Amino acid sequence: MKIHRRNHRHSRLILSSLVVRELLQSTRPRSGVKDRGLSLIELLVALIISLVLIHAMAHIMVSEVQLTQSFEEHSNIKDATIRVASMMQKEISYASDLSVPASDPTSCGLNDPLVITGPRKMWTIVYGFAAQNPPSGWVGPMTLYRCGPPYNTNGNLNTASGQSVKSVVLDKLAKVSPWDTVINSGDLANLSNSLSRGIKVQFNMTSVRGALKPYVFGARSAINPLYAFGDQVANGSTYLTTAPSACDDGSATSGSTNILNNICYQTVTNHQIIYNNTNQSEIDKRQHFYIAPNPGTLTVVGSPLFEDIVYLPNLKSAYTIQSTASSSAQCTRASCYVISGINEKVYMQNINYLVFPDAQIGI
Amino acid sequence: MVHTDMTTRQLLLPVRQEPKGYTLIELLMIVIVISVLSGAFLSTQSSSFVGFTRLKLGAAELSGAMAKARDTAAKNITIDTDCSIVQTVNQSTTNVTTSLSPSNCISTSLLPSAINLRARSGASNLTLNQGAVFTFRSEGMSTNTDATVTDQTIRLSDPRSNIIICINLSIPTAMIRQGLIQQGKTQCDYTAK
Repeated sequence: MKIHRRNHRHSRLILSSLVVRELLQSTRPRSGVKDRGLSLIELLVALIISLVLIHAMAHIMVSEVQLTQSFEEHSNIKDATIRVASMMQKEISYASDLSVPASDPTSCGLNDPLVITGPRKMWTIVYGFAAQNPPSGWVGPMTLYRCGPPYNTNGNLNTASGQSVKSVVLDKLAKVSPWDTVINSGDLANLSNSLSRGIKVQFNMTSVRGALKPYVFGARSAINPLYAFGDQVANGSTYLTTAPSACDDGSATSGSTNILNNICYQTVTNHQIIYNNTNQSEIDKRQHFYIAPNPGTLTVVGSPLFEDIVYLPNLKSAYTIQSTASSSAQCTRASCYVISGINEKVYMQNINYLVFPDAQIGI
Repeated sequence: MVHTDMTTRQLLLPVRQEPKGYTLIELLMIVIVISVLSGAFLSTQSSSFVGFTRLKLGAAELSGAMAKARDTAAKNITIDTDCSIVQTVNQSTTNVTTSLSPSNCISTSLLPSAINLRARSGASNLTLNQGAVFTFRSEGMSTNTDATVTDQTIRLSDPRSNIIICINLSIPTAMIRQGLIQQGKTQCDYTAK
């Protein structure tokens, strides 16, 4: 038992001396091994490893910052786009006419224009692109301009003295095809632009990191004739406050028979409009032509002074819409012809609206 | 036991060294020297750097306040109502305050709080080239009492910075842009990164 205890103590001593040796070897050079320090090669290797690590970390940090900036930029672009779209939708909703002519008919001189004409041509707003893009101070590559009456602080258009202001409303549009404006696309493609009041606008945006998802919105001018008095002004007429009586400003014939009083009646309403910046009361007269099913061949002529609306009995898809019986050219306000089967052929002049059970078309 | 004692003594004996590389002490000395030199260099640059950094903070505060007023108008003012948020930037005090026109057309609790650009940025010498009144209405659009104005700009500067920052509000679409005027230039460059 004693022998065993002494052996145990002896082994503990050996163990502790081994630990001490290990510790000393870790802090001091082994006997016979030179204390070399760090050689230049070792330092360079350490430096290179450090640089690689620092570079990797810096790359991650820079990427993170760029991602944040990119997100912020996209967010700002989207916000600006939404505001412009909202403004355009509002202006279009007030308009009596929309067009995308080949060249700007106004003095604004914008390229690829969208022309929005207000009721009675009281105002005209043009959206488009200036010859110089981007203009000084803007990122571009293309910037969208608005040229037209400015807004008052109360949010109303300032049409006083016909002043027109041209300003950049949207930046960072793509250089090629910065926007697409399509009026009456799809099944209304056979109508001329000037007939239609619906539009699809697509902004093709770009950022420092390349093209963004396009922003598309639709807008429609008011089909409500309250806002559409194109006839009066388009025909050189003046603002009228008195209405002629009865449905007698146009004509409706079936062959040689006058059927005006059979298919037409007038509505006369009194409402407030803003004209020359003042609130005025206007008597608004409309002539409504109701086409019966299978009416044969009719000729309907509306008034050049007031709203004329033709109500057709069949769905729009049942009709062929063209200029005249012999011409498949586009239907215009001056001349429009609709055919549905062999028993419904209606030739129209000076008509402002075609109303189908499933669609309305402003002409 | 004897073996163990001998080993320990052997280990504790002084070791003959032939230092050939850099020791830790030498490396530390180099680091210290580099730190001192770079510190001396940076101290000459820090004034301008701090000035510009403070200026950027002030610009961020101003553009942030404008964006907040614009977004508040967009969210809370009904379309086509006669109500607008008026934000006033005082040139001398650099206070940015917000009010309603007409008053109480929406709840005043929705309005952004007043801020002081100098206090917020820490740039006690921050100056503005002019005051301004920004007006935001429904849909987040901007207007001006002079309907022909198409944009408004405020320039922020600090004596310690040789760069001037411009904040620009476009009318009517209320785009808020930030640009720089580099030393020797007079025009705001909104394309600078």
